[in-house]
Parts: sequence; C-alpha cells; structure tokens
Amino acid sequence: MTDEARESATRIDADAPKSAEQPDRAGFAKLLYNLGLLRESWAALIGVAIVGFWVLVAIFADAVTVFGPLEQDQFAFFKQPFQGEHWLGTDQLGRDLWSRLAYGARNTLIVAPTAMVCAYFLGISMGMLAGYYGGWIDQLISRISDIILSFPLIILFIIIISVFGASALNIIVAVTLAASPGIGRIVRGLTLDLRNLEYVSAAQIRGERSLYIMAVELLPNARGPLIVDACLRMGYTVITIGILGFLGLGLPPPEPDWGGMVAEARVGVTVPNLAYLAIVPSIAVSSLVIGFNLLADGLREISTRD
Amino acid sequence: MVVFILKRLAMMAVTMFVASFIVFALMEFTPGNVASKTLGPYATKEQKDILFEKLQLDDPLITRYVRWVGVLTGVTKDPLQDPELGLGFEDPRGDRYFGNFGWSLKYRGPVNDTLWRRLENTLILAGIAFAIIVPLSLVFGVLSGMREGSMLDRGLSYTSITLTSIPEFASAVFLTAVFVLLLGWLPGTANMQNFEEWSWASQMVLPVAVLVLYDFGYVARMVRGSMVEVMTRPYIRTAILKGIPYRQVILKHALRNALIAPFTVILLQIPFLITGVVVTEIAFGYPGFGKMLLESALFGDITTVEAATLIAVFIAVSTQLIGDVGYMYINPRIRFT
Repeated sequence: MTDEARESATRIDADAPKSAEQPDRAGFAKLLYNLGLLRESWAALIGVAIVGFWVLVAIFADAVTVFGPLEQDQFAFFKQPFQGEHWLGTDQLGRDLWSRLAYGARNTLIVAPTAMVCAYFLGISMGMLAGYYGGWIDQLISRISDIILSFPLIILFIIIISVFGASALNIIVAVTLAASPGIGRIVRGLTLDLRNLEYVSAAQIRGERSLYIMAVELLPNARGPLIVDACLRMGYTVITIGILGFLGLGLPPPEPDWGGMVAEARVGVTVPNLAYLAIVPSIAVSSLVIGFNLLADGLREISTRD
Repeated sequence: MVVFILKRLAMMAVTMFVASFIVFALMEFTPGNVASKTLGPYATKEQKDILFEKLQLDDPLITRYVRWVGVLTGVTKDPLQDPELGLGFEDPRGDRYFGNFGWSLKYRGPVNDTLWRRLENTLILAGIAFAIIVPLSLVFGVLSGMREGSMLDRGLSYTSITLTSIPEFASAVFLTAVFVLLLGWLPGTANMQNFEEWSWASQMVLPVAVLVLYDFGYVARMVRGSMVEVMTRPYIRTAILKGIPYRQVILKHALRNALIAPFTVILLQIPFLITGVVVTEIAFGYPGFGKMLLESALFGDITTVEAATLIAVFIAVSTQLIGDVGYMYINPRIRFT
C-alpha cells in the first residue's frame, strides 16, 4: 500500500465515526457527510457519475481531445462516428465532433451554475421578504416579479440578447432575471402557507428577529418543495442555455455550443448520413440534464428520509 | 372577493402598461433606428430624414410612447399609413381603429393580418398539448404521491425525470430520427402545407408529442411532491386513525391541500409553455406565434415584436389573475386584504 492510499484510507476511517457522533456538523464536514449519504440512493450515484463525467470532460477538455474545437480537417468532412481518428466523426467544416462536445461542456458548465447561484440568491430573498412582511413590500416585489414573469421568457431573452449582444455574461444576466421571479413566487407561496402556523407565532412572541424567523423557522420548513424545484431548475438552466443556442441566441459561432450544434444540423436529421450531427449533441445535453436531475432527486430522497 | 378581483384587474392594466413601455423603450430607444428599420435596408438618407421629421422621432421617448398608444387604441391616425409618405402601407381596416398594431415589414402587410392567424395556429397546438398534459399529470401525480415509494411512484418518478431532462429541441431530433428517418411514418416538418402528402393530423403528431413529453413530467412531479408532503401531515394520520375511509381521506383532506402548489405551477406553465412552443415551432417549421416572434425579432420588425409581446403578456397576465383568485379559493388559510 502506498503512503497516499494509506493516508486516504485512514482519513475515511477517521471521518466516519466523527460524522456519526456529531449531529450538528458545520460547513465542509457536513458536505462530506452528505456526499457519503449518496451511497444510499442509486439514482443519486448515477447522477453523480454522469455529472462528474461531464465536469471532468469540461475541466480536462484540452487533455481528452486530440483536435481543437475550431480546427478544420481538410480531408475529413462529414466523417461518420466510430470510424478512424475522429471518435464521434466530423461536421460540415471538418471539425472534430468530440472536441466540440468537450469544449461545449466547458461553456455550459461555467454559465449554468453561475446563473443558478445568482438566481437563487435573488429569488429566495425576494420571496421571503414578500411572503413574510406582506404589505407594500409584498406589493412592490410581487408587481416587479409579475411583470417579469408575464414576459414569456423567450421574449425576455430575445430582447436582452438582441439589445446587449450574445455573450456568456448576457446569458447569465438573462437567465438570472428570468428565473429569480419564479423562485421568488414559489418561496412567497410557501412562506404565506407557513407564516400563519403556530411555531412562527411562537418565535414572534419569543421576540426573535425577523431575519432569524425567516432563515431558521421558515426556510428549513420550505425546503422540501424548494429542493424539488431546485432539482428541476438546475437541469432547466442547462436546457435554457441549449434553447438559446438552438434559437441562434447563444454563444456566437464558431464557439462550440451544444444548442447551436443541434440547430446547425437539425435539417439533416431526415438524411441518413447526416443524422448523427444533430443526434450526438442532443444526447449530450439530455444526459447532462438527466444527471443533474437524478442527482438532485437522490438528494431529496435522502434529505426527506431522516 | 369582487374588490379583490377589481384590484387585480387594475394591477393587470398597470402590468401591461409597464411591460409595453419597457418593450417600446428597448425596441425604439434609438430614433434613427426606427426610421431605417421602417424603410428597410435600401432607403436613401433623404427618405429617412423625411420619415424622421414626419414621425417627429426627435421627441422624447415618453411622447412617442403616448403617440404609439394613441395609434394602438384608435384615438389617433397611424402616421405611417398617410398616403403622402408613399410607403404603400394600406390597411383595409382604415387608419384609425382599436388594435391598430401598424405595418409589418417582415410579412409585408398589417400586423393584424399575420398576428391572429399565427396566434390561432399556436393556440391549436398548445391547446391540444395542454388538454393531454393536465389530466394525465394530475392523475399520475396524485396516484404516485398517495403511496410514496410504491412501484407506480418509482416508475413515474424515473420516467418523468428522464422526459423532463430531454429539451424540446433534442426530443424533436430523437423523434424525427425514429419516426421519420427509420420508420417513415410521419413528416419531419409541420409547415401546415402539402396536406395531400401528409394529413393535418400526421403533421401535428410530432409537435404535440414533443410538448407533452417535456411538460408532462414537470407537472406530474410537482403534483406528486406536493401530495407526498401533505400525506405526511398529522391531520391525515388523524383522519385515517379516526376510521374515515381511505378514499375519503384522499379526496377530502389530502387533495385540496395538495393541489395548492401545483395549481400555481400549472398556471405558471402558460408563459413557460410559450417558450416551449417557440422551440417546437422552430424545430418543425410550424407557422405559429412563436415562429413569427423569433423571425420578426431577428429581422428587426419592430411593430410585430411589440404587438406579439403585448398579446403574449396579456395572455400570461390573465392566466395569473385566474391563478391568484383560484389560489385564494382553494386555500382558505390565506387572507388577502
């Protein structure tokens, strides 16, 4: 046994009883413990495997590809998959499909999580404030949310991106703006449901500060539906980025973009030799979203079990 | 109740007003742009200048917005339809009527000629999809949420996860590959032409299937999640222990509480469905509202984008009003004042 392996083995041994003994773990230790719990759900394990695969591909895109994503092979246009040196074939410009997928994964996995974090921070703050305080705060936040929500998202995207141009930052801004009112509305609904319950009144009578009530009494009790929502939304953000690419509003070409790749090849699906060009990136988007959704579903199952 | 609805109607008007102003501001922020967009790419500088002056485009944004609303509501004449300008914008409805959205450059005719036909097409597509999605997901969601962890529950859970994970553009690709390329049963596009070759129904199958596959899982999971949550509440246990028949516990005690969250979600689905409809329409070349919107936006057809936004916002706002009234009706714990 190498030193490194022994060290990691003892580390696991040392961690296990520690996490069992201390019920209120904080921060990193809690995260490790929760990740350990993933073993209990096979859905979560598959989810971790798929997401992990794409994350690794995204991080090590330079190492796992032979050709560059923009590199054109003059001798190989429309090469079919699983033949020769191009694993997944090449497109109409002789670009390696696997390489474009790998760099496309990198783009997606930078934009989606960033947008999600921004949207949740904004959404939870808005929803809690509106639901808990009511009155004019609720009116103001709800009116703003209503206006954004009543824009069908696609119009919002088209307008934001056509006015400010297509770039990763603008996609993040657009997704955050579009997603946070939806999150806020769900949080507000849950808060309205919970705020008239006894334990909230008890906390109020105890003289707890409003911030404490919102963060400690309301938020944990709203987490069940919120986790279901977050689970669907992370996947949905990946889908949204794909949709933007598909509609020609995503990262500007020739940047590798999964949705854009599908859009370029969509017409060819009815032609036997060209169908792979659209099918391969479609499988990539779908698998990543399935991964996120399975992972989140497993997490929810585990969190509701105890 | 009546006061509440009236209040919400007033707010709906405010929302529409603000939304239309934001879109107007974004689309017509640069006045010079409006003149060149209206005249198209081949106009000379003089033509643009004449139009600029005629439309008084150097007025402040607010003034131009008020004028636009005036034309829209039929209070004032549409200046672009003035024969003196020689633009050839002729509307058989006249130049002053309620709902005058102006002239579409992309479709070369009054916006109203294209808008309503396209909207009708989309409502047919979305209506068929919705009529399948809602009952299906309510039944499956409630059945599987009733007994968490049962075979049906797990089956539905993983089916809906998979279905919801496949974006419309990807499932359009997969379905086309199977039913058009491999089997040859259905057409690959739904452009609503060539009915001799492919019937209306055969063209509708794939677009409707794409929408149902994608949205069914989402709504069913919401219903299920909410049902599971309610089934663990003490009052359900109490009801069961009191000896009330199980069916009655579900129908009277659980269902009403469980439907609160999904009710909001289903009505929120409508703006969401519009996004899905745009993608589906683009994927299959279906001549609907969404395709019109993207086409006109990419073309720079300001009037059509403004009209389409206004209609889409109206649809969304009215469904939200219904949602709020229903939400209050279902959950008596919420008191609006």
